Amino acid sequence: MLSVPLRSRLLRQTCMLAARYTSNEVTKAKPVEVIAQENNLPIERTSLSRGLALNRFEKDFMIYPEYSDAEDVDNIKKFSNKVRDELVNALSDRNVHATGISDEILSVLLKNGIFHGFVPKEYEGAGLSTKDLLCVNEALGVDLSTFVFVNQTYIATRLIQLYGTEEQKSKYLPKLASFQLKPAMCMQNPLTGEITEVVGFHGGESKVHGYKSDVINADIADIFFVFSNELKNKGTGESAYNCYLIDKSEIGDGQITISETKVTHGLKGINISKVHFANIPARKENLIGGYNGGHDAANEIMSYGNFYLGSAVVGFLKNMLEELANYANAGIVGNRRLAENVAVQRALSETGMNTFVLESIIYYLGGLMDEGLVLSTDIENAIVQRYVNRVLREAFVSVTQVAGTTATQEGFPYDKMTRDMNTLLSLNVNDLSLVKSISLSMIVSWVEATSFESRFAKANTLKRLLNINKRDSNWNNPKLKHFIAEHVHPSLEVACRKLENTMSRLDVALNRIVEDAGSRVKEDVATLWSLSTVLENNLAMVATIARASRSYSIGLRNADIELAWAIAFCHSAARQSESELEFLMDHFGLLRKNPSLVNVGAAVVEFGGYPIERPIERNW
Amino acid sequence: MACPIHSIICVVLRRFQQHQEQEQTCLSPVPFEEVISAMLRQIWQGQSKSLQRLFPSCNAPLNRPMSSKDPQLLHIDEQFRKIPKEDRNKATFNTAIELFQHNRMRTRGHVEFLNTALKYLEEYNLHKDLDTYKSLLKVFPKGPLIPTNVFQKMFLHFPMQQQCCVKILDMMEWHGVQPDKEVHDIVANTFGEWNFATRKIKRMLYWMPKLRYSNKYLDRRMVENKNLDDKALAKVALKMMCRDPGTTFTLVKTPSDDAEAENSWVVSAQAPLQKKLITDLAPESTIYVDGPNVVYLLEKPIKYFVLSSDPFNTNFDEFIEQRDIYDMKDFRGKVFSDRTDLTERNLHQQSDKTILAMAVFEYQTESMAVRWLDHLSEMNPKLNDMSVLFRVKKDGISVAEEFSEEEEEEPAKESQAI
Repeated sequence: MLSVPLRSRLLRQTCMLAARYTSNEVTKAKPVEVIAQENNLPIERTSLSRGLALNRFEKDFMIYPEYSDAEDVDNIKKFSNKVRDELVNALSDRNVHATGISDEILSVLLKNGIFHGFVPKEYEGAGLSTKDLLCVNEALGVDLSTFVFVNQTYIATRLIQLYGTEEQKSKYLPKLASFQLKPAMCMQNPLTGEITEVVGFHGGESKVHGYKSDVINADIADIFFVFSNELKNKGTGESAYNCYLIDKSEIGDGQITISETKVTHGLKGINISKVHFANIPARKENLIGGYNGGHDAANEIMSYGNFYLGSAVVGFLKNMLEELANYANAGIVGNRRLAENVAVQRALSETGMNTFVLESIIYYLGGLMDEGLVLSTDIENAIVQRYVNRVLREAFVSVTQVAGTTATQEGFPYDKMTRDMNTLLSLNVNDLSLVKSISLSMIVSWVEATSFESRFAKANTLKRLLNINKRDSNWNNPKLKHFIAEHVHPSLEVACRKLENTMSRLDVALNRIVEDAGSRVKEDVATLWSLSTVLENNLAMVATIARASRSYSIGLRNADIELAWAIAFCHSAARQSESELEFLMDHFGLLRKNPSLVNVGAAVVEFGGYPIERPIERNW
Repeated sequence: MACPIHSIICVVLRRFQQHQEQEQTCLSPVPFEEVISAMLRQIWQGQSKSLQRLFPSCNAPLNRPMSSKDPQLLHIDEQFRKIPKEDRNKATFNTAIELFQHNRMRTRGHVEFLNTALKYLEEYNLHKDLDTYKSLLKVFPKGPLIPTNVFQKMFLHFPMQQQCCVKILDMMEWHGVQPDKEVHDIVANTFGEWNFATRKIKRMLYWMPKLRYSNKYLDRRMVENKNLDDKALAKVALKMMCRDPGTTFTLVKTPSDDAEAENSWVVSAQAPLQKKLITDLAPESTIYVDGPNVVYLLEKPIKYFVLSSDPFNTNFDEFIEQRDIYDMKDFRGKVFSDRTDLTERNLHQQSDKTILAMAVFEYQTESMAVRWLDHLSEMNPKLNDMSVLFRVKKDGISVAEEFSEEEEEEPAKESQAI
């Protein structure tokens, strides 16, 4: 509650900007970066991660966002607990191999108005805040396929809300809220050969042709969001990238054919299939985001909504930890509980810590978005997605280590959990794309914000020589500049100091990377990977420090454990960041080590498998 | 010369002895408090002139008529007292507050009203209700009690009002009612930002949440402001006491002793480790059912029973000589020995006894204990082969009676053992 007046300095300004950002007309005309530049908003106010990378800090970041009214917290807690309990009941009778969403689960979703939550109040929705939605999605996370099912409607709602015309909003949003319409996203990936294109005919209307694979719930969908290319100029080959909202009831002679439905290992509640579009009318009134506005819409799908995936995964992991803890507490080894075995505790500690970090990040970012303190969350979304991938992978280890053979035994809850995790990981964006998205966006912002000039463009040997000592000093003994520890509980002083040191060192490392590699950095996967890890750690450290400080100060239950976890995490994250940055400094140092990580993979691909001879092989 | 205080204490003790004797023979229906107060008044007025000389400041209050006879206070008292007991609830209490605020034509009488209202909080069962405390604090006028100059700030400005406010806040603290920021704002708007009463609420707002979970084994949210029935309370109490996280809780319904009454219940708690310990017991060993013991769940007393056995023959000495740790002789043997933490005694194996199960009964009788044991025998068949000694305490037995009963009932107790 105290955070509200403390944040008042730029709150009004940022809220107004956020309101403008969410307004359809402004968004199309002015992206958030332009608005920020026009209003001289500092970069840390626009994007938190970019600010941290640029060694900029705002004390508001250390105030963990919270509800201003205790009644709101009670209401959303009651609601999400109710949804969770009802879902658990509905899932208990379900055959784990049955496909599609069951009637019981659907009735729980409809009875509780889950689809209403995403839609604004003026379009017959509930218009929940980001924090509310995070809580609801956490409840849905007890079953990941239910979350993925609901998330399709959410993405569709978001697209129409941001880029749709007023007619589209009033026509589709109320129906999406009441689940009268079921959406499917068809975002083409030309690199895999999937093409949906718009073909124009003289004297007639343009038609959409093509296909898209791996579409979720295409078999039950009523509306399709189809991203397609349209040739603008035959001579130059220039084309426009459009997003069409295709209503199945309005396609006339057109055909939408569903084929090759995949039988997946997990996420049985959804279907993944291939969709063919033939002769579908491509009308102007069906465009989302206007002509050539497909890129913005696609970016929105890619860079928004991962917070909800994160919160669902948090709900899933909490459920999993509870199951594993019950299993370990009920089992007996020797004269003690299985849970007292240190190996079991070690296996659970990774997942426990990961859940804590992921939960801290998503509620932190969700709260900041509610308060309008950050406007751009593209990097943060990619970071959350990468955390989700990492957390799910490590959860596998926990399950197998703790439950042993029970983890793979049919009929036990772990079986469904591991299958769902497996399928979700396969559907998620791969780590390399995320790493590129995180690191390259950050490097570009860093170069633009610091007005960096390479020594190749403007050589100044004397200045460079003089700066060598300064740079080394900054690296070895970074000076505290922001005194972050002044804004948190004294117990977290060391964690804050480590965070600040990492921020300073990242600045030095970025200077060297950009100076030495220039734009070639985009091909250097190892560098991007290391940079991404450091950025992720920075965000996670800020979120956990702010959360633990708040919890301990107000005396939440088990706040002492929370504090210990935050300190332990910050210690290991700072160590990891330091080692990654040292690797980068070495990599771009005098003796250049070619990172061999990618080369190993390249050799495997080149030789069609493991390329090294057996150690018993003789060559003479 | 005898000390006057000493003489008063002697007289009081003598009268107490007399009263006890009269009570036993049912000759004195008058409560002891009234006897003592009448006696003190008599002593004060008639006999102890020297004491009055020693403490002249005490003269006035004691000589004044009792507060309940004050016509003004009597009127306030009546507002709460005249409401029948069955209608004493939040609505009627709030109506009394509203009536006071509505009828108030002058800026006086808040302290008297609030002091009286505080007395009736528990009777109206509102001593745990935050909203009622807020309503009471809102009775103070906003503005006139705030100090305006440095002298007023230095000294206790409007001391009676501030003391009254502190008294309300003390009562909140005593009953464990967590204040929120609104309470702070109400007090700060009444007495100013840094007055004595405001400091009190600031400290409460700082410390009470910090100490809220000082008992880490109890989640207060499970009990506070929840109208839990006895079965639910029993489960929470057992969960608080049973430190084994693997403990399972079962609700057993058994036929009641009273044929007309419905089934009675037992909430039983037993962990898998405790089941294992029962199987490890020697056949025909003796186990004990002890109780009822009392545990407090916040302010609610819960009576529980414990099933236990004699301590296992294990080493309870946990002291390890440091020189043994760093002694490198037979290092391999120590490092790779079969004896690990997992083979050591577990938390149920205490030095005085081994706890095998715990339970809360609806009625604390031996027959209920027998039914509980029947239920446990279903999951622990080995219990059927064991001798059980029921050590069920009875309420309201004086020391003298207990001695006499023990002597008489000793053979009967043995016959209860199964």
